[in-house]
Amino acid sequence: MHESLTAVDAQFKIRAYMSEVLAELPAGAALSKKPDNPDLATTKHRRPLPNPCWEGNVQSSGPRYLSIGYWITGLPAGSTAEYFERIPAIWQNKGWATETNDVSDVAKAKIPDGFGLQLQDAGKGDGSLSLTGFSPCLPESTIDAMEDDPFTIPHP
Amino acid sequence: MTAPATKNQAYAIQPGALSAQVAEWRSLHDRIVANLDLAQRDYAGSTSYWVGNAGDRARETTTTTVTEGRKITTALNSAVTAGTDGQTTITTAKNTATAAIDLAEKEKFTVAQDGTVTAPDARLSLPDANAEDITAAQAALDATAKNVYERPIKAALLSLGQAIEDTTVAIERAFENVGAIKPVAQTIEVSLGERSQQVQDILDGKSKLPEDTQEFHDLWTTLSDEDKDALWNQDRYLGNRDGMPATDRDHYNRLTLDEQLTAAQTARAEADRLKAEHPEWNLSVAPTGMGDAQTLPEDSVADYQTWLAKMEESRHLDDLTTTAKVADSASPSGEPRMLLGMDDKSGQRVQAIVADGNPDTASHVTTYVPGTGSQPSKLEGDMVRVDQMTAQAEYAGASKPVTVAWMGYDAPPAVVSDATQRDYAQAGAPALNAFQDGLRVTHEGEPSRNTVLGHSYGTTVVGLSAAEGRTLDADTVVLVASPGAGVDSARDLSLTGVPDGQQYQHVFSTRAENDPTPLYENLPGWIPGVDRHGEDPTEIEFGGQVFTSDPGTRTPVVEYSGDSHSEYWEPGSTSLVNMGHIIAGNPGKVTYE
Repeated sequence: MHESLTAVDAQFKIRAYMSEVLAELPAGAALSKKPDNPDLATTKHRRPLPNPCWEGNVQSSGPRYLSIGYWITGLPAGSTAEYFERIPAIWQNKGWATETNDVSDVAKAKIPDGFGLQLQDAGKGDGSLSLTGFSPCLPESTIDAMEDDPFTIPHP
Repeated sequence: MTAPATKNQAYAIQPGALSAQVAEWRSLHDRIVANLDLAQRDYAGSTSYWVGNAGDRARETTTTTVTEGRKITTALNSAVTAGTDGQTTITTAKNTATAAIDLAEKEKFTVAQDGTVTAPDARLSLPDANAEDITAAQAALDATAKNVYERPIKAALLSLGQAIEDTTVAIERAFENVGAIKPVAQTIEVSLGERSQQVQDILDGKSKLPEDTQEFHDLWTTLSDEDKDALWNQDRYLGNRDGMPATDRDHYNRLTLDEQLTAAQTARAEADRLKAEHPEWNLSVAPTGMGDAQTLPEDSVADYQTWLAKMEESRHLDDLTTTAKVADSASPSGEPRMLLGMDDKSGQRVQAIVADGNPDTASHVTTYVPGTGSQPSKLEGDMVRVDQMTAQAEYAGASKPVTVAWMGYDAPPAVVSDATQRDYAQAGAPALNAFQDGLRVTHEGEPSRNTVLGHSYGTTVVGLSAAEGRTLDADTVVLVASPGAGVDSARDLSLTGVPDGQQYQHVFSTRAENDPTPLYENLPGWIPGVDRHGEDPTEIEFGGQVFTSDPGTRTPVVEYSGDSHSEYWEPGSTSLVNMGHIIAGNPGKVTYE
């Protein structure tokens, strides 16, 4: 566990990594809880999910790690599917370890400081992509200080 | 109709004011009883020394006086009971109402005298937002005002009005035979409710609510709010009825939860007070163990037994507290959670059902059934799994998914002694089956895609809910880390609308390589008293579709690890991504063994 990492700091850092990826995308691209495709769900979770860093259901308290999800919006029409391949390439250029699973349309990046990102194609045929960020484990006592994530993260 | 109390009345009423009146009635009762007993005894014994007509007349008159006097003492006794009970009921109702109002006002909502709640202006909290976002935010706030705050406040004010009326009537009835009185609480206007004859007959015991889910729903949707409230006043666990729309289940279950939680907190506070005076007491002394209790100093036996009783009354405090916390709208989700089930009477533990949204308006509904050791006091961990499944279904293309944590059964408390028994699953399976029927009946618009997903012993409950003569209304069944789903083959499962032989298309299972649980099927026959739960559903003989999971944590030497049994919901894990695809209805995107 990262003893000195607070949930609020991790929340900002996840969003910072997301913005870093966003900066490599075309100027109109953004991250939003609301997808471009109206058949997809506006992401229900406005606050990071505090996932347990322990296993089993005997324990009910302990370190947590965060996950934050957004839709990637504003990609050029007709080319969104390409970004499922382009974004992992961006990650690789940054020196992040990547893993791709073509069958389930999921790609993952592992950042050296313990943070991570996951890209997923929603399978609607239009290349709608979600981007989820993860933190390492951090003290549970800092969780309550978190506030909602912004509805939209604009292109930097 | 029963007039609800107003907001001002809720804060102003002082149930403690009844105490003085009750004390006076009790004192008067005791004095009259003592004097009547004395007169009866003295005059009955006077025949030996007071003979003749005068003595006979005196004894006759005394007998009449004592008989009439007994009516007064009976009335006083009834009034004491009515006043004491009423004080408790009014206190609970007042606390429920004021707590609900305080909560709304704390969140900046405005509460009118009649309980109507008005949302704050969204523009104040989103000064920089665009018009579309403000409209959406205002709509969400208005919905919260109506569904989260207003309904419980209005119901609580109605309950308070009802409690005052009931107390007033009970006190009046106590004195029916001895003249009119001025009841303490008459300053608040109350009258009988406007109820349909159909509901009145149910309240009078002349008829019953339909047992059939569809018939119940058909009746329920014709009832007025007054009818519904009256039925809840009669049966506090009405909100668990399958076939009742989710918004009403949530509304009534929250009211009952508030009441039960308040009662448990009060009992625990009293228990704690007694314990503080006697730190040497412990629960290892059996509640009925008078032999042990007699070893206590005589003057503390009564207190000790009161302490035991209060501990028993508050035994569900942890379950109720966590259920209330989890059901609170302050979740990571923008959508309020819904309390679809709350029952602290039927089982050994509290049974709770919590959804992360409204299943009646969802596109995809997943019912998650946890296994051994699960109970509402640990709900927070299960809700993270719920949140993850909903999020993963969203990313897999589901347009409005909702996931339900279904703890509508007594899960086996321990692995070794309890999870080896099939009867926990057999007891829970009918309730899960009925819950799924209810989801289908109450759903609005196009039918949702419904998945029932069990973990560990929960898979045994899921399997049995679709077996032994039951047909489960689910489009998909998912069995995660199963010790056996109660059957030996996917073909033994009966699913609504699925022809025999086609079940395999709807039944999915998985196990992590290092998870030892599916090895359970090898134990029965070797160890006495261990029930067989059926074939491991990830075996080819079972005939379902087996999707991949990450191997999970492994330990040196034996490799198997208990940790791997709980790693299926880790964000980014292969199992969670696959679950999302299954829930969303993308079997072609699932990775299979």
